[in-house]
This record gives sequence, C-alpha cells and structure tokens, in this order.
Amino acid sequence: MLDEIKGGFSVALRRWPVMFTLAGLITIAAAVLSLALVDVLSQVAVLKGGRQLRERHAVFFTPYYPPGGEISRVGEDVVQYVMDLIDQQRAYAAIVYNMALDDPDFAGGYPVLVLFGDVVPELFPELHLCDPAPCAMRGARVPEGVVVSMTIGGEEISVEKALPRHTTFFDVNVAGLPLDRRIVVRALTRMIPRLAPMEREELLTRVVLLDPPESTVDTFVSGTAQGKLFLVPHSVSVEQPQRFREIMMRSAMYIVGILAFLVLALMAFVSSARLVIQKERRALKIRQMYGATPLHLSLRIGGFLAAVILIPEMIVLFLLQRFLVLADAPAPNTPLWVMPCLVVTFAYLWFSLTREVLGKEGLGGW
Amino acid sequence: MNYRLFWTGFFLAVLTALVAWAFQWALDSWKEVTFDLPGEVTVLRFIKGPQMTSSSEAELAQEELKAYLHQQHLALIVSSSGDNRPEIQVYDPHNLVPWFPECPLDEAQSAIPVYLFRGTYSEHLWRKSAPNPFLPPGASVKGIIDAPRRSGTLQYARCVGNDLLPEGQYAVNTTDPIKVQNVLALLHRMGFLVQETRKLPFFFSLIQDPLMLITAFLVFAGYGCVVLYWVHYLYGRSREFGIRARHGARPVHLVGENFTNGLPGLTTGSLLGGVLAGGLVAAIGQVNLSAEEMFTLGIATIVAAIMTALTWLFALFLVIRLRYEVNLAG
Repeated sequence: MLDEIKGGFSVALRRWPVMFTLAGLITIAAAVLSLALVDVLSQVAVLKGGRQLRERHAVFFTPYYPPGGEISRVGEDVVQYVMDLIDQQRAYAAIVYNMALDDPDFAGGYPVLVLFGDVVPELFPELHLCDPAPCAMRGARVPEGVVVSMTIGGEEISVEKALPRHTTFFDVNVAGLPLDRRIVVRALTRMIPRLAPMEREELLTRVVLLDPPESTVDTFVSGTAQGKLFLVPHSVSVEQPQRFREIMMRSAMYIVGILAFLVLALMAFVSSARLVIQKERRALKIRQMYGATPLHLSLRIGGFLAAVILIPEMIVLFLLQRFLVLADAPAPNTPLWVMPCLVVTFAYLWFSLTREVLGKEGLGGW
Repeated sequence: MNYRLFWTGFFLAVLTALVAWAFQWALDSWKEVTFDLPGEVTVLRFIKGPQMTSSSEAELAQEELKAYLHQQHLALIVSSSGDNRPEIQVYDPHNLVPWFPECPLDEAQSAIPVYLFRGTYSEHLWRKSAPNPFLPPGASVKGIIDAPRRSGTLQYARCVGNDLLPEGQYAVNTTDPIKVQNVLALLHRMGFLVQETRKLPFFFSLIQDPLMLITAFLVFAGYGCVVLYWVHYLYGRSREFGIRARHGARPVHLVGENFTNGLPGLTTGSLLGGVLAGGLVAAIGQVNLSAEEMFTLGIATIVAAIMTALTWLFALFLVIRLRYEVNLAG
C-alpha cells in the first residue's frame, strides 16, 4: 500500500516543474486566504466587542501631543472632572502601554493593562474581570506566583486569579489586545492623581465617555487643549462601522480574488493531472496485469494528488497556525479552517479522477 | 457557448476587476499622502533637531524658505502627524493645491485665515458658535472646505503665517535632488532634523502597496493557469485538428474558427465576472460605487475581455499552428 502511495509521489516528482509551480501557487493562495480570514475575524470580534459601546453612544478621542516629545500639562481640574465622570459610571479610562515604563521589574516585567471605572466589567463581560476594584488578574500564560502583587498610585494590589485563555480586550482605542501575557488591573480613581505624568497623559487620551452630552465633550476637549493635549472626539457608533466596512471591503477583495484564483489553479491542475494519468495509462495497465487491485491503483492516484494539492499546503498551513498562535494573533486558527476545504477538494478530485481512470481504461471499478 | 471558456473568462475578469480596484485605491492613497499636490512629490518628516537655533534665525530661515518656494514655483504642505495642533499649513503662492483656497497676499495682517474641514468636530463647534480649542491664537475662520482625501482626524487647513512652522510631515511638489537639498538646508537652519525622506513617484508608491501586489500576482498567475488549462484542453483535441488538417483545413482557418467560436463564452464570462466582482465587493463593504469606481470597473471589464480573447488566440496558435505538422502526421 505504502509503495503505491510512494509511486504516486514519484509520478508527481517526475513532472516537478509544472507540479511544483502549481503546488506553490495553491499553497501561497491558501496561506493568504488564511491571513485574510484572520483580519476578517478580528474585525468581526472588534465590532461584536464594541456593541455595548455603540449602544451607549460612546465617544473616544484621537490624541495630538505637545511638540518635541514634551509631556502635556493638563490641569488638575480637568483630571478631577474625568475622575468624577468615571465615578459616576459615565466614563472609563485605561492605561495600555505606558504603565511604569521607567521600572522594568514592575509586575515581573509583564506588560500591565490598567482599567479605571466600575462600568468596565459591565461593558466587557467576556473578560470575566475580578470584582470589586482594586484588584488584579494575570493572563492565562503568566505563571502563577510570578506576580503576587504590585503598587499603583501608592496602593498595593494583589493578583487574584487568571484570565481565561485567549482573552482579548476589544476596546475602541486598541483593536484587539491579547491578554494572555499581560496583567490586568482594575484600579480606583483615587489613584489617578498619584500616577506618573506619562501614565496620566495616556489615561486622558484613552478616556471613553458614555452617553455624553455635547457640553461634557466640549468641556473635556477644551480643558485638555489648555494643557497642549489636543483630543479630537469621535463617536463609536459612527466611526467603528465605517472602519469595519473599509476593512471588510479590503478583506473581501483578498478573499474573492484568492477564491477566483484557486478555482483557476485547480482547473489547471485537474487538466494537468488528467494528462499525467493518461500518460501513465500503460504503467497502470501493466500493474493491473501483475495483480494490482483498483484499490492499489486508486492509492497511486491519491498519492500523486496529495503530493501536489494536499501535503505541501497542509505543512505550510500548520506552520502558519503555530506562528499565529505564537504571535498572539487575535484569530490564530483560521489556517485550520482552510485545511478541511483543501481535504474536501482533494477527496473530490481523488474520487472523480480515480473513477474516471478506472472506468475509461477498463481497469476495474470501485 | 463553450462553458470552459465562459468560466475561465469569468474568473479572469473577477481578478482583473480586483486589480483595477486595487490600482484605484493605490492612486487614492498616493494622492492622500501627497495631499493632491501636482506632479512628483517628496515627503519629509521633521522633528526638532539638536542644533541650537534662535527664534530670530529660525524666522529668517523661514522667510528665505518661502522666498525660495515662491521663486521655484513650488507649494509646501505641512501636516501634523500626531504632534501639535490637528491642522494642515499650506504655503501655495502659485495656487497649485486644488482643494485649498487662496491665501491673502498681505501676510502682515494679524488674523490667520483658517478653513475648517467639512464634517469635522471643528465645523460642528463653528456652526454652534462655540470656541474652538484647536485653533491657534489669532485665527479667523474664513469658511468650510472639503478635506483632502482621507485627511483623517485633521480639523482644518490654514495659510502659513508669521509663526514658526511646527514639526510634522512636509510635502513639497518636487523630487529634484538640488531643490530638495535646498529645502532641507533651510529647514535645518530653522532647527529641524529630518527623520524620514520619501520620494513619491506614483510607480514606487504602487509597487509598495500590498493589495496591489497581491492582486497583480493573482491575475498574472491566473493567466498562467488559464494558458496551461487551455493548452491541455486543446491538446485533448489534437486528433480532431489532425483529421481536419488531413481534409485540407489550414492552420489559419482552424485558429480563426476556434477563436470566433470561443468569443461568445469569453465575452459573456468576462462581462459577468467584472460586474459580479464589483457588485460583490461593494455589497460586502456596504458602499455605493462612485461614478469614478464604476468607470474603472467598466474599463477593467473591457480590458479583461480583450486580454482573455488575446490569450485564447495565443493558446490556439500555440497548439494548432505550432503543432500543425505533428497533428497532421498523428
């Protein structure tokens, strides 16, 4: 049996220039299709994650910082205004990248996401955040006991439990932030005045206002502008669907294009395969005369097909999936979705080509 | 109608329509980076440099820069790239920037003329007569204009005034190394350090666009697959061509007849493919196709139909004409 499959492989190898080209083209198309699907899935997740925010007419901001890398000097009154909004559950804020940048040993060197606002667990129920604040959780891949507690704004916060695996934070400011290797802290607003200036600046740029009247937005924007931090407001319910549409359109172009190409590549491959099998007709007939059953012949044809449209693609897709998992991509399993499609195509071609050959050449039936 | 030719024409037209669309987008995004400046453009990104420059020296250098741009018939667009105010500053003494209204000739006047971009938060504030915290001191709103393509979150454009230019992205409509060098030298004297220089002839921008590259690769490889498929299909008919040749058919007749017979399938497939690709992508993106996009798709469909017909002719020539004697003997 194994010899038959090997024989099928050698049929493909003997015609390696055409078969190698076709296998390469199909492999590239399958890999690009997987990547395009990653994009689509992560955007769908962003849109799903933002549903609560759209329903609450959330407003977020694009920052323009002071020139020359200077840190903005936003007044205490504006900071207090934001703290009041957060306490009234009319806003939340986050520090994503700048927490304790000057202390590499902070939280065992793991990046820390700090969330302010009691409304956060309600807006992101899929995160299963600890309650009540202040509290902290570790990502699923942060080993237990490495980070026991940390000090933020002069208060010690202990790390309570682990987040579920593959948890992703779909905030409007960060389109899908994987949390597996992060520490997530729910902090209290009373800690804000004691934060470092850079941390406070990031917090102000990541404020999300919920159902805000125009006057609230105007007061916040003009207050931060006095400290040379210009924040341009956007409504999530306008901005997010628009961004989603643009990305979906781009992804649709990749997916439609690759599917059209795959059909053409498979058509070319099938016509080549037919020609190859036709040339192998005599060899198949001789094998049959020396005792090969239809099963043996079909395994030989299957080996030939697998060498071109199954095995190289499977190897590349498997490696791509491992890479996406290691790179913490938001939807790393899309190559696993493309794999069954290829298996089905392979099975169909194998079945139809074998039936055609056995029927036409009088080599026996199934 | 030959269905093999119909389907191959259909899928090739889908791929060609997508290339055309990617080309249109690459053109749009090139215009976006260059803010619709005419001709070839150099884009420079500047930050504050380590050199010590007094404000009077910087002001003097800025005046020299303006004089140089005026004399060389150039326009300069300075846009914020996340620093400073969300604004664009334009110096365009020869009215080369199509979307920007004229600046007053009398630069000495105290008010800085500002044009707000339509649909922005700043326009909203202006309409309700609320103060705009993004505007520089002494700014006076002269009107509302359409923002240049995809200007993102930038709020307004204004004429370069007497205040010093900020850090940010500088676009100037020349790639002449001497002129670019002179502009760089003047900006260096103003205290800036160049962080990135990009010459942006359209072709380079095109080959750096991943969507354009992938769709072009797909259409190129797609034509390769189709030629292979057609050649195999025509090889399968070698016996038929041989018999007809032995009965006196000349290669030119065989090629001409098969070419004409194939045209209905190819043309219908190409037209349907072009229409479907455009419709499908627009439906998924939930956008209405603009007249410009319809035109691009129409051209792409026609080009796809012509290219596919020529490829079919090539495949026929390859198998019938070049293998005429082989078929005749077979």
